[in-house]
Amino acid sequence: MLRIFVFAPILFFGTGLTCADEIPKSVPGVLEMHLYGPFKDDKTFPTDPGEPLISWRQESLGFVRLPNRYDDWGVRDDWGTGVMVRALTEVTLEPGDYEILSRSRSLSRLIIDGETLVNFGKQKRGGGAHNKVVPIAEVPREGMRPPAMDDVEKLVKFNSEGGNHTVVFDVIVGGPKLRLEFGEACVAIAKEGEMFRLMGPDGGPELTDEGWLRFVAKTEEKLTAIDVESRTTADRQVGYWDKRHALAAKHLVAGSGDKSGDKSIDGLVTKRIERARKESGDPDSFFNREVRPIFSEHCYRCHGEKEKGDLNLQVQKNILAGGESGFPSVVPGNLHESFLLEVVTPDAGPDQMPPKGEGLTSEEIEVLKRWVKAGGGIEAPPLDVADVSPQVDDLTFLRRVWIDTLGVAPPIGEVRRFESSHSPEKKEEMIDQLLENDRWADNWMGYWQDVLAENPNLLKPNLNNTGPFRYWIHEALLDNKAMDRFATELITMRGSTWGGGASGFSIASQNDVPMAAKAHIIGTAFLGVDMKCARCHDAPYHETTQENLFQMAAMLKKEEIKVPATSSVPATFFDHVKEGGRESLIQVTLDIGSKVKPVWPFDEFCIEKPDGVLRKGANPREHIAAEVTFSRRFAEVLVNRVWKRFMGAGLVEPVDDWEGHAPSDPELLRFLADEFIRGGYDLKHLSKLILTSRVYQREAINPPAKLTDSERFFEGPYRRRMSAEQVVDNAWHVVGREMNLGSLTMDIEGRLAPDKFLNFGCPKRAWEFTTMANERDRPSLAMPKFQAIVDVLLAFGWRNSRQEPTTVRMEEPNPLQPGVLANGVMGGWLTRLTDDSELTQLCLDAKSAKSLTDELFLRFLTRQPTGPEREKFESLLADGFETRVVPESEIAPVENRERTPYVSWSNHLHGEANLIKQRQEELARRGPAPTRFLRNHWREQAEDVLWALMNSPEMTMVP
Amino acid sequence: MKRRQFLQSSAAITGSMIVPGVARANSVELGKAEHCVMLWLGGGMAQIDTFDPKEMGDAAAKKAGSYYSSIETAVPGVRVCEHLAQTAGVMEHLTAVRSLNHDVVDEHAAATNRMHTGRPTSGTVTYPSLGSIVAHKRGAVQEGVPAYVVLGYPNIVRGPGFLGPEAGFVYSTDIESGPAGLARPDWLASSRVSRREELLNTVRESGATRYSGDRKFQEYDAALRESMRLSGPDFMEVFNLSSEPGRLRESYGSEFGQRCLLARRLFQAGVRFVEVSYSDNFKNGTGWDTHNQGQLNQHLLIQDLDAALATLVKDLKAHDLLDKTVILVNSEFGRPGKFDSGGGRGHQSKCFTGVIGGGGLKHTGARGVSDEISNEILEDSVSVPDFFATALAALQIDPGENLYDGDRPVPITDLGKPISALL
Repeated sequence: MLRIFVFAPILFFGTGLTCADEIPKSVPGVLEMHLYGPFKDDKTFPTDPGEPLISWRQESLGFVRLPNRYDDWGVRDDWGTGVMVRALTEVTLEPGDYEILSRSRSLSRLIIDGETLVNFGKQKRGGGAHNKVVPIAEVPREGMRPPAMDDVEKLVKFNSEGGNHTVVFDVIVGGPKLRLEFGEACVAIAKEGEMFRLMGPDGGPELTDEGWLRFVAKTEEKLTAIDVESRTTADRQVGYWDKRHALAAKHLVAGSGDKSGDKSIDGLVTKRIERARKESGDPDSFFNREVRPIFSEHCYRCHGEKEKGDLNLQVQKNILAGGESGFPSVVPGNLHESFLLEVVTPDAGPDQMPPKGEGLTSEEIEVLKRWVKAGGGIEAPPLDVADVSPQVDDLTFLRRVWIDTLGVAPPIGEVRRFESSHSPEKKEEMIDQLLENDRWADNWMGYWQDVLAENPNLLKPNLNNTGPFRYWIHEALLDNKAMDRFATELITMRGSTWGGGASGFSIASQNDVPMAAKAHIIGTAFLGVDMKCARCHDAPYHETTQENLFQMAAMLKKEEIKVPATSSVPATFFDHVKEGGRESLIQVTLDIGSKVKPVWPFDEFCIEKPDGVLRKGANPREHIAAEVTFSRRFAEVLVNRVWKRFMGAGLVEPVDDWEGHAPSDPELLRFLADEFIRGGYDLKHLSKLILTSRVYQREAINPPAKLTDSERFFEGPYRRRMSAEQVVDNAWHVVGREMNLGSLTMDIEGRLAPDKFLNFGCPKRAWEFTTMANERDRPSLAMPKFQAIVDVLLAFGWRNSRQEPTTVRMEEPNPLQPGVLANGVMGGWLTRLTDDSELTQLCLDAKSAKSLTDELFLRFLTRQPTGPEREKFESLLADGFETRVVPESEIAPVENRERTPYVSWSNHLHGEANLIKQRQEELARRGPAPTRFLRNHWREQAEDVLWALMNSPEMTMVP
Repeated sequence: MKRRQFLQSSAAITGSMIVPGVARANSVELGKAEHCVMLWLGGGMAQIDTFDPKEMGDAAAKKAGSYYSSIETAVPGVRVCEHLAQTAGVMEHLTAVRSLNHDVVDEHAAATNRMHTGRPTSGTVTYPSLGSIVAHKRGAVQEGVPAYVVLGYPNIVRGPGFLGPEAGFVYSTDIESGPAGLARPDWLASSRVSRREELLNTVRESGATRYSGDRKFQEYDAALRESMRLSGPDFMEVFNLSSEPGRLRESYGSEFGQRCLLARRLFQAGVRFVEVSYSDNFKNGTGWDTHNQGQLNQHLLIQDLDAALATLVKDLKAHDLLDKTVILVNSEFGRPGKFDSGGGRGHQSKCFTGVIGGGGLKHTGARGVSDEISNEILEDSVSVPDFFATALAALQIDPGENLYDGDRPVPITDLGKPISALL
């Protein structure tokens, strides 16, 4: 059983281990790890390490990573400059001669029975990029895993008289300008001629690639569990948020004036469809057929969705009265007096409407004249309402809900269980089960990384790079943090900056007003206010001014901000007017150099805050957080985001820019927001409400060509393609393989500072990737294995740089999408049957070609094969099926994997580094060795089957 | 005019600024080119050791100046480094712009961005690369091939920015293995290809029935069909350089040269824009970023460039493509005439050289003048936007027009003006 135990001073008397002859007491049968610090110095061991900050237990003596530290909000924080980790255990040995091997890249010491046997020097740092490429070190046993880059390996002889030995391994981690990371520090033991095994009270895994990776996976699992407990224990804010949610339920729930009718998603959707049928105008009337398209294209954006110049062309009275000019837009029947007809002609000169583009064609003007002549009356728009689509079948539902919640197709066991269940609540039970799965968090990651412009770089931050606050997002989603709290933690920028806390959001490198970038993100993410243009000028389609943006930025900065010259429009931009050009739509109303004070600019969304919302002494960021989250608008924007994610379109579109865009169904929006607030801003609660609705479970329909211009009735969910991350994660998932590509970093040996180089660990999911950052265009900086995944992600619309927030990606189909899956390196890996592939086992175990065909279709496509498919696939798999298995006596030995020397930032300018990377590229393209257990002829047939299934268009659709 | 009176009065009342709009005042002369190849020398080509030679310096004695001797070229009065001997013979088709300049000097990534997008970064917009702009404005020359191909590493600065994936590139880091995502893996026997496609077509048909009438499915399925066509023999044959005469291949020289040859073949197939990246960095360790010892073998890189560029000019000419193809030799910045403590050169962006060639332009071998150690511009300063505007104008794209980031108009260059003498 794992737990964090507060260090018991009984273990050590005095002030900790000060010299090697003082033997600490180990607990029999366990390996304890104690973390001490922080220390500023990484050159010497602390004379008095003090009490450990955290302690945990492991099975074997190797170092994977530090457990995370959390602040009193449960947000990731830093341990400090550097720390020491002490591994302490007792091992029992048979009498005899041993070799003990230890590895470390930083100041470390191995003490056995009070005697210091091995010392390691301090960690190397910096040193430029011109170091030499060195061959991989020889290992003392064949087949051993070689030491990691910069890890020093030391061997000592050890004679045991038999019995127990106390083992202490102290490792200093981090130090000034270093990330707090281990290489592959470890202690292993072996008798002569035997393979080394990691030390541990109960023995340990062999120090081979396989043994080490197994150890890492197991330890990582434990550390993750420790992290969960640490942040739960650290969190002191539960009481406050409970109170906040009670206040929100009291003050922010709108309720409905209309007590009649079915208050549910389905009831409201149906009601709206019925009403639309009644209210729809005649699509064939002159106005709707001829005039409306002209207004829609050229006018409504400013004089409809907005009321520029007090003119709304969707309101008859307004048309007759005119706007602030005082001239009626239309005088029925009177072409001469109708101001509208005057301003749309080129005669209006620079005042011509519409203000940009080529203006109306003479045909269009003719239509308007005819309309005015006929009285200038407007009509209700024709509404394109279809019949509601039918409910989907069980398997379609299952695949859809798995992809929507976890991002992957249901495994075959789940499919069979679901199909055979007769429970009337089986769909709801399935939804509940999915909402508890940790992949839920993975599946939301890409969304929030986009929306919040999470944009860390591998190396040397450039424009708008941030800290890696992805880890904070992930933990918040795992913990299902209430969304108002989530937003608050982000806006207050808590915790670690470069170590994965919410403070990573505070960075916008190379941006001269980082907080303006952040204000824009907060606006689009949580308020539906788009201030992109406001960075430099006031924009024609937005009421929000540049001053508003800078006011909010100043609040985030907690002090006034001077507008830099770069946040403006060069005067030459306006030169054209002097040459008789048209009036500019944009305006600059904030002078360069003017000072903007921290003021909350959006009173329209706010309500008076009841006591208890703001804590005493709240700083400006906390004020902003409260203004944003304790508002009706916040709840509405979030429910709209979630609705769109599951239903394919928002109730308000675009979801990140609400100005001038009314909800297609205000009642439904109100209902969802109320439920969200009452439910304590719980994302899962809200999701369940949508996923269990009949509307969600209907057959998908084609989305309108242009969402923002269309009325949306949700006769069914709108069809969606899977996201880039889903395409990648699902591909690995269906073939049952785990990504294992090594550490995603350009500073393998951890010599460089965290604000310059980051290490993204060993990615398991698509969201963990980042830009390959080879703007320097050097072969030696290529990362061929990671590039193979990034190629797929990019083709499907993932962004390798998130310089600005986005909700809707550009993911229109293009030949590279299917192409990269079909021909790319990743597709090659995943459709290869290897020794360790789950699918190879499936092929070996299959009873018949028929059952194998069925299994594969269910696995990849969650459906049975059709007649023609069965014929093609089954007959191919049947060819040689009986003799597909290689008899044991003929199985070839495993070939040794080719190892290339380490290339990191530190040696990438050495000529050989380029050649090594080119070799790695070739190896990556070649892919893993095919399995030795299946005959090549049959294996290739089976691989072609996998390939065809993998490349089916269905593999990219949300069904 | 009633409305005008209204506007004037309302402006007076609100005191708001009525600002002029973006309109093109003067139309620019446009060229006739159809293709563009950009040779990218990552690291920063030392102009003083290539196209803007000066008096010899001495690295050991820390005397500023060229590292190599210079030679005459086909254009009287224009000299280049001795390692550009072949290029010297075709200088009448090129113009070394010796007065390029910008202000990003210490950071390769940022400078690479500048020399691909032609403008400084801004806080809220991700700008498209030149290749993406050209792909966006003009598409492929012939239907059914990609408009924009990168022979080098994929990265953000080469990408389409706000123009979106439609204006993106297909890339290849290795000619023999073909473009990533389109070329089939080389380990796949051709008998398996047809078997695979037969299987896939069966699943596609079943899928099409299941998703009948579904637009997203149909669009993806159509893209799949198109990708299978591109992976087929017709387009892939373009990448098969072995069908070229051996002497021509030899003449192109290095891997970089072979990429240039491939560019010519891509143009023949109808590709609009090709970026060819120099990647044989192992020859000196540092590529064109010749700090310290990187300088020692710099001449090997220059010789690669010489063979590739000169052969490309002649080869394009032989195929009647030279006047239709704008050639750019581009790099993130240049390097100072002074040597660093390790005998190499640091970075310099206030004065460096880019080369523009072919494209039916009026070439003069060189323009712009720098001082005696190529540290300062003395005459005819050319900004990066001007350099880009020149390339765009040659490609029949008005450098004064706007691109659109959603609703937002973004001038296609950062107010650049083409070098009119070239057009």
